[in-house]
Amino acid sequence: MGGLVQDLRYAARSIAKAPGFAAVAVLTLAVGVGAATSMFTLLDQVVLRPLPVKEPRRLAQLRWEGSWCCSNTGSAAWTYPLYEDLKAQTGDVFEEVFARYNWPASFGHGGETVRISLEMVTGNYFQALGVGAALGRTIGPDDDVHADGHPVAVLGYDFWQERFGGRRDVLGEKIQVDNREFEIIGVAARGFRGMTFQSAADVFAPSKMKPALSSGWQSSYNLTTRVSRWINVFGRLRPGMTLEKAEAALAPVFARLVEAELQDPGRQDMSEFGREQFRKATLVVMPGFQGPRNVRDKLETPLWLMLGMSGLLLAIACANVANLLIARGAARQREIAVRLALGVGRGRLLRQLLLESLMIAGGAAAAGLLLAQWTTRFLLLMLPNGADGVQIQAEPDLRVLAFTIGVAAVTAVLFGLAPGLQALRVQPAETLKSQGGSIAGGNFSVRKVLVGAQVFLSLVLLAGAGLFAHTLLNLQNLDPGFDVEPNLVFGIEPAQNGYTAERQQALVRELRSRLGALPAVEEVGVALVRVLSGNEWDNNVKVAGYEAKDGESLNIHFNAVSPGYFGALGIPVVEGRDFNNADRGEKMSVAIVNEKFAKYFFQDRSAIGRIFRLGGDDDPPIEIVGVIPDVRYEGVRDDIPRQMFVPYDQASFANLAEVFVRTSGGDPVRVAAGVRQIMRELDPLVPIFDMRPMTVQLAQSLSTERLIAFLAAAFGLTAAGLCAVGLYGVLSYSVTRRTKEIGLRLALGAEPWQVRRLVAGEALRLFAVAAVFALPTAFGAARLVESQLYGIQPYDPTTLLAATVLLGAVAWLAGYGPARRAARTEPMQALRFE
Amino acid sequence: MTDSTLIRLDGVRKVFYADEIETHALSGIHLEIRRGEFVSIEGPSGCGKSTLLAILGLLDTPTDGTYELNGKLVTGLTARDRARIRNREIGFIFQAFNLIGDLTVFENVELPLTYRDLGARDRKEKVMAALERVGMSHRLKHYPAQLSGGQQQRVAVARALAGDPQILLADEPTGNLDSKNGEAVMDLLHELHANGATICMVTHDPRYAAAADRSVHLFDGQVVEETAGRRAAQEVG
Repeated sequence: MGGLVQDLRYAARSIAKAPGFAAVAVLTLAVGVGAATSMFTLLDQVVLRPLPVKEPRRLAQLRWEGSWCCSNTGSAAWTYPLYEDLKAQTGDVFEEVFARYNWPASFGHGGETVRISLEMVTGNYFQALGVGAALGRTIGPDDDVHADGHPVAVLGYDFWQERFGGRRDVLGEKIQVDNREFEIIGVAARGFRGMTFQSAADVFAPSKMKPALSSGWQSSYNLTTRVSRWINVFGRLRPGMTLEKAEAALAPVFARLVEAELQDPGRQDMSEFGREQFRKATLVVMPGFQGPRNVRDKLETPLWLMLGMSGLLLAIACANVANLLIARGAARQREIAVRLALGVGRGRLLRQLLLESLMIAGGAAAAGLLLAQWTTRFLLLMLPNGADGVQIQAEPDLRVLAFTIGVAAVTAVLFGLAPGLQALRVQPAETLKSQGGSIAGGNFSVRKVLVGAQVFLSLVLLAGAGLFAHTLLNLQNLDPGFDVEPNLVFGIEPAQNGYTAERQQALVRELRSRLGALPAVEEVGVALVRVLSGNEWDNNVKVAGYEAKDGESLNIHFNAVSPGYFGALGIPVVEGRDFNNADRGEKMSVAIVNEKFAKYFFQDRSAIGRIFRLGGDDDPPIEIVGVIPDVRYEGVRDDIPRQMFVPYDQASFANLAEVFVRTSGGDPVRVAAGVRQIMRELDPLVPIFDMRPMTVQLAQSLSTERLIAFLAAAFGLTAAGLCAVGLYGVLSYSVTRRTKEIGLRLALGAEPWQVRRLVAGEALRLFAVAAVFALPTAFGAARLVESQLYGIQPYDPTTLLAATVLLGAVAWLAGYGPARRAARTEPMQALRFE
Repeated sequence: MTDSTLIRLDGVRKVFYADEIETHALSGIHLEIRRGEFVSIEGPSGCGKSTLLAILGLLDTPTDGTYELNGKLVTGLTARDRARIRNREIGFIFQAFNLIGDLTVFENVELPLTYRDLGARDRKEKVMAALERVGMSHRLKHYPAQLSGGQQQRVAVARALAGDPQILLADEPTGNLDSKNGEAVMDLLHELHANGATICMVTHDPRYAAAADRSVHLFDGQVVEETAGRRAAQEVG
């Protein structure tokens, strides 16, 4: 123990003696550790970390896999009656089956109305998760028995802190949620933010209060329908039960449920083929320890990719520091020789050297943690809606801390071992004698291998960065098919304030009319679904005269839009007519389709006047009155779907109004104040949400791609920078070590340019050798992430060439300084000790 | 200066400045070396021998005075021109041999030739001829570390000879060798001299100095005495 303390003291003194070296080593390593820690912070919270609930690994999510006949909010959704069936029939597999669904709601308190994230939960939700209350109580089974019968709410801890200042007397206070009065009964435990990663719950309400909540879509997605599924179902597995066992045990139960579903009146007009497909559905029991995974799944590959890239950056930093240590080791050869001569064992010496490495790594870990925190905060701002609502904390917790310490320890061994072992190869007798008669040349393979590895990794990273940047550029340059620049878009959801469909349509008409009168506004249109928002609405259609083949998908993307919508977005009606104010009524009667729809169903014949129906033959006919060109819908990356548009004033179910305001040029935000003023005048209690220029909407739709491209570029350029530092260091060391040789060459008649070529050539040779290995590796790596690319091949020669040229230029620049210094060597100075 | 004069120094001074202190390394040196002559430069440590040799080898420039090599004034030349003259007209032999450890014997000897516009075949011919002259052609692929000190110095001599220089400048060529190897290297130099080479050698060993045609004695940067060497004396005698 005493020896260890002595070694620690020695290591600390040794580092203190070379503060410049220590600072460079710590900072270099901190860049790598910081990048890896930041990526781990994101990956951990998005992909790895379980929910902060009791025994999260015993949570399972149930998923319907296979054909579903009717409306849904995703394949992880269930109808409420099916949830109740599952709860009643799966008791031997699950201790509890519970359900939840989150939805943006309007929240009114103290005369102010804001939009919040509401989580509707079944009465056993908190109990099943083992989450208690920080104040008051949570929602219990007795709070979720009768439809619309339990207007009680639990506040999220953070929401309670932000909105109510953490007041402990909030219990019993009344709040308005979607125009219904609720009583606060408690505050959820600190740290628990609901089950949805991308949207932390502000308020929890009983699921049986659904009729009072989200009234806009209540008509079709309700507590009794068996055709529209919306709620996510989870179960807590009984002890000893695995996901596989649960799935096997539930298969017969599920088969019975499917048969029962087919008897539902809402499925009576299903075709035999449709029934067969329906029967093929299976129940999948998925891990539920992280809640619904849709957004997590979307981000998982990019985040692993980024962690991998940061790992490469860390490896480059390690190689850099290892090189520094080797150089320092060479300078310390005599000191090491003396210590060995005095009888210090090589093992003990190695321990001393590794302790120095650990101290450097410790410093790097501390600096890296700080860097990671800043980086993560910055990266969170790049997420689609900034950091709002996303359950990611930039501050390191114990897991992150453990990761950083682990990484630092491993890197300490990685960068410290090779230089340590090399230092131990010192032969005391020879080292302490004067040197022999030949001059050391430029061959010092370990350092060159390390720099070669840096070049190799940097080129792989740069090539990756190039491909991702190219992908982003391709997507940004993609024409969405409509005008983006002049538009401002915002949303309102009057249904949450108790508006009926008719009142809402009247409000929207008035809003359009008054906005259209603003001086800078050219056109105003309204849609149910905001384009490029990642949302869509789809449904099956039955087109008159079109015989569908078995298994053919007749799923069409829909939107409900007002007159002026196409004009606001600059989308021409190429055949037929646009919607007008006469297109009103309770039933949808007319539609506009895109060219893809028209061509699919009618080939070269005109689509105008054609009839189709939503659902079966009994549904009302809808006549196509216009055709527009193909335009993008969910996002720019997605293929353009077959689309149809119905009049907003005929869509009684349209709970949302996404308003597009086309301005006469300049920054569309300048009309924002006018928009807010008009909305306040029309109804001050209806909040405006997500107001932004369409350019921002477009940019946000590419936020994942931008995040990847940004990080890849940052990693690539940092890697190139570290590589330049590494190359510079090695070449400088090489020039210093070869001063005598260079002096000799000059004495023998070498001209300065020949010496410059000699040194710079060394950098370029190292670069060339590394590039030969790096380019195929970059290609192979790019193939692994091909799904993240768009409009570019993994072997894109332009990108690979650009990365090579860029790094080649960096190598040349890194070599230029030492080459210049070498060429200025005075032969007499170099050979002075003759 | 006669046609046979290869080197002529006239009033050469060299002053070093360090920390505002002037050090007069050479003070008004007048020296002539004829073609085919073997001149040794003697003197105690710090007398300016190596500085003189560096100026003769165009590794350094005089502060004052003129230097003519082969009839051409070489003071005031650019670094590039000096490099060319060093490469083509001067061969260096160093006390510590100064072979490059990473290069083979062949590559070491070839090194000065790589700075000329010579094809590989011509270079090889010259390298082989030089190594033949010093008796080291059987060690082409060896590295310096695999040779004895005497052998290393023979390779260094071959390197100096390979470019067919006008003059060989040797700085204590036996300083790092034992007496037997030292004798062998001196024999080699005498053999080269006998075959017409012009040699200027710095040494502090009176035995080797005496073996030259002429010895120039330096003291405090000045030529204080010139004596005919034993060999010259024997020839005169």
